[in-house]
Amino acid sequence: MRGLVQRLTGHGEGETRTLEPWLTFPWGTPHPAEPALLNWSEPNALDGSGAAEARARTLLLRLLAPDQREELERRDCFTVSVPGRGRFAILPRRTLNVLDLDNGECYCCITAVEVPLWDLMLAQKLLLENDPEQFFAVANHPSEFLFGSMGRNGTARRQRGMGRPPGAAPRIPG
Amino acid sequence: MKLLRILDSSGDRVIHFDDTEAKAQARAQAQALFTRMLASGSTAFKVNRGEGRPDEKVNDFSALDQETIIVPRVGGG
Repeated sequence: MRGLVQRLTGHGEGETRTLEPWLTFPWGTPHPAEPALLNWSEPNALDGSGAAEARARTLLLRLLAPDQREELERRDCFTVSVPGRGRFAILPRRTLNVLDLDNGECYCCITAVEVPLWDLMLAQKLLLENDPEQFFAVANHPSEFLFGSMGRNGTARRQRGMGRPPGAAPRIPG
Repeated sequence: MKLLRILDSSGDRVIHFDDTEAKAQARAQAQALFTRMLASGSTAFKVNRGEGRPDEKVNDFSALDQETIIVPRVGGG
C-alpha cells in the first residue's frame, strides 16, 4: 500500500483551501481521518485584518534586519541565518512554514498561546537566530513532506535531507 | 524606561518599568511576570538593542535591556 501526502492549494487570499494528492510513498497507509480534511479552512495566513494582526506586523517590521524587512515587504516572507544550520525561510502561514533553503525540508513550530501570524513569524525568527536548539528540539519535522515536485518515476525530485551536524557549513552559501 | 513585550492573541501586551523608586511596584510586577512566564516555558529575548548589537536570549531579569520580547512556550505544530 502506498502512503499519500497531500498539499495545500490556493493562493493564500482567503479562499477555502483544499488538499490534493501530491506525493506518494511506498509505505504506510493513509490516515483514516484524511477524507475529512479534503475540505477545510484555516485562518487566512495573509488575512491581515484586525488590530492584532496590524500591530503584530508593525512590530515584526520594526524588529527585522533591513534585508529581512525588504524581503517581507516584497514577498511577505523573509530568511534567517541559523548558526551551524544554514539559511531558512519563514513563510506567512501557520504550519510547516519554516523552510530549510538548503534541502527543502519544512519545520513546524507554533506557540502554545495563539498569536497573530506576524508574531508567530517573529517568535520563529527570534528562536532560530538566538535559540535554535530549542526550536529544533520541539519543531515537528515530517521528513516525507518535501518542498519539491514529482519526478517521472513517481519519486520526489529533491532528495530527503540528510541533516547536517552542528557547525557544518551550508551547502548553498549566502 | 524599559519594557516587556509579551506576545499574545492581542498582538502583544506591554509592561513599562524602570529602576527608579517611583516605578518600584511596576518593576516588581514585571519581574514576577517575567519569572512566572519563563518558569512556564516562555523564552525572553533582548531586542532592538542599538549600536548594532544582535538580539539575545535572556533568562535574568536584571540583565534586561530597553526592550524584551517574551515568546510563549512553543511546540511542534
